Amino acid sequence: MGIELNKQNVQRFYDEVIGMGDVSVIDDLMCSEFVHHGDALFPYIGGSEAIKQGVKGVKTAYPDGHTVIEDMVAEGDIVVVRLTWRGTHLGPFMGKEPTGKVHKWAGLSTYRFNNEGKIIERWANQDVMPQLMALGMIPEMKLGGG
Amino acid sequence: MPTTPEHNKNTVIRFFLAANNDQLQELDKFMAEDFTTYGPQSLLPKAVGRDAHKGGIGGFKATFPDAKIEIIHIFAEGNKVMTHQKVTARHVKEFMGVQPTFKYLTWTATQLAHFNDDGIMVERYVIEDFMSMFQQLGILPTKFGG
Repeated sequence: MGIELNKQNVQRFYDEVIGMGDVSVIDDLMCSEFVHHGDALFPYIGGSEAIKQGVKGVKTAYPDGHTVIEDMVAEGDIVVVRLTWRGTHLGPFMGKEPTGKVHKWAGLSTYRFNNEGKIIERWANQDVMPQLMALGMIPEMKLGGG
Repeated sequence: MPTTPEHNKNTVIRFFLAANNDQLQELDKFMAEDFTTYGPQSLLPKAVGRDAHKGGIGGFKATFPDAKIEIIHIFAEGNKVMTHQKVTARHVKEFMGVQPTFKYLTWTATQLAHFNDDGIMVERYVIEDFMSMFQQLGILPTKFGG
């Protein structure tokens, strides 16, 4: 346990689970009762099994999908990451047929660890609107009036 | 004497308070001359300089006069401070072509700010859940795909 180990475990989550698609690593890193507090697209995910299913779904749609950690901040039982995810859209995703295009989004995620050094909770803000625009799921939008 | 993580946290709190209270000139104290915000890619990709920030925050407050930022989490390490915040704003003026609904809109955001050794913010990365805000305004669907 400790800040450096927590950081390493967040790095492992992104490298081995998100990048390599090895969902079995989730059992090493996360409590079964893990909770994701997200934003509009995925506001709530309860349980590490649901995370496994989600990772598998994204890996089917984006087999080379992976996360680059751009920055980390840790204090106490918290690790915050600034990240960029990229993947090539080669399988169906949320009802959209593969486009063969590279999609990407930026995120800021806050992880909380329990006393046993496992991830128990996460708050995430993810800039997925460009990806959803590229998929034709939402219209092109800009902030402002009119 | 170099700044500390606790001092930097306090500066982020004061920055948000000044924005909440429309004390835009106060913001100069906290921002380097070339202070840069990297925001959501498609909506607010980048702002550079004190005037651009005062103009942006002033413009937002002109549209949402009672908008308030409430910090949910704040953590710091080294010269970095992260905040996870809730924004609440009553929709009293036309915005994105939508006439006033007088509804309270709420959304979350995460910010990661970098400080220099003098305790001044030099850059920040912000991801805001604008998609949720647009859903509350009725200009985006609340359900997506299969």
